[in-house]
Amino acid sequence: MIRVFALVATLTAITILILVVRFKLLGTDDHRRSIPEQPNPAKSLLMFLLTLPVLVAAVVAMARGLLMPMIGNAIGYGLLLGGAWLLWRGLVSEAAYARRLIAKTPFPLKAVGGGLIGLGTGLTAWLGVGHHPGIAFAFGLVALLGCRLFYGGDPVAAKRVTAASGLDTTDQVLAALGQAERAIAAVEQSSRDIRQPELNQRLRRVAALAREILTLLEEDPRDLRRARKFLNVYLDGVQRVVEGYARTHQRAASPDLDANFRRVLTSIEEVFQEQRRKLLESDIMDLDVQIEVLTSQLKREGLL
Amino acid sequence: MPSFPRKVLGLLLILAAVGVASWQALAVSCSSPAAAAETTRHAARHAEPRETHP
Repeated sequence: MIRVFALVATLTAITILILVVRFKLLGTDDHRRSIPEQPNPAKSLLMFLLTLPVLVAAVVAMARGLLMPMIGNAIGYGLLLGGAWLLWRGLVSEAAYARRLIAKTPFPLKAVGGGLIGLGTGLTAWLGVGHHPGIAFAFGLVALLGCRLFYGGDPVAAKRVTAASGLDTTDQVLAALGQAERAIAAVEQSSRDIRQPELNQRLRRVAALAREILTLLEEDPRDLRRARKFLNVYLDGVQRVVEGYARTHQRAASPDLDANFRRVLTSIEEVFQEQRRKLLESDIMDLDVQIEVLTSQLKREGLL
Repeated sequence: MPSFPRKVLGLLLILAAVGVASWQALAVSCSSPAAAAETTRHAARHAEPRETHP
């Protein structure tokens, strides 16, 4: 029995070591990008794998009728698992925060997760292993410090945006962008139910264009007023049409309906391309005006 | 502190605390009944208030 556990322990330790060295210390493609799309998987998995022996210990203690170690290990594992989950959610939230140009301050998930890991480690060391409470406290403290150093702190400052009038419009911009993103996600979800490669490809293009427009709006939220029609009318319309087509398409195939839907998608794509062009043009116009102002200022001062 | 040494130090501390406590808990659960019982007694002794001798 002990030999089997020793073997499992050794294999798990080797797996952790390989994962950590491969993804964390050597780095992945994600690290080469300036802003990661998703958190490092090895970083997220580490804590889940590292705490597994406590679960096995709780089961073995229960099987052998050892009350105190069983309670200590079970509660300790619950805390460790909760902490690992919060740390993982914290990493996901941090990656999303890094991707956005406008964002609210996220909840300090990593700090709470680190606290739970510290608490779980201390409790396991005290009740599960039988260490002196002082030593168990030291275990918890070292675990907490390790989490803080390895996973880093949570983002503390919000990425805010203010209108020309000086009003803080962060909430309005985030609400508009969030609604638009939900509509795009719904379109993508419905397109999975449509079994026509050509239409799927067209829908993917439409979704990609819509996301590009949202990125442009996020970069310059002043354009939000100009893009209101796109956000409120077109995106909602696209969502309704695609959802309706996906539902009908599953029940019965109709060539007329397919042709109509293809036509609608072509028009939508054209409208989206036009919207993107307008947003880019307004940026170029802004730049032209700025260059003109700067040139006249330099001329006035006799530098040109 | 630069990012890389900070993360390596953090990883070492996590392995030293969480890893050691986890494996020790497993080792105690799998050890001989006498050792496990001693652990139980030890934990219970620290959990209760200590007796004072006159």
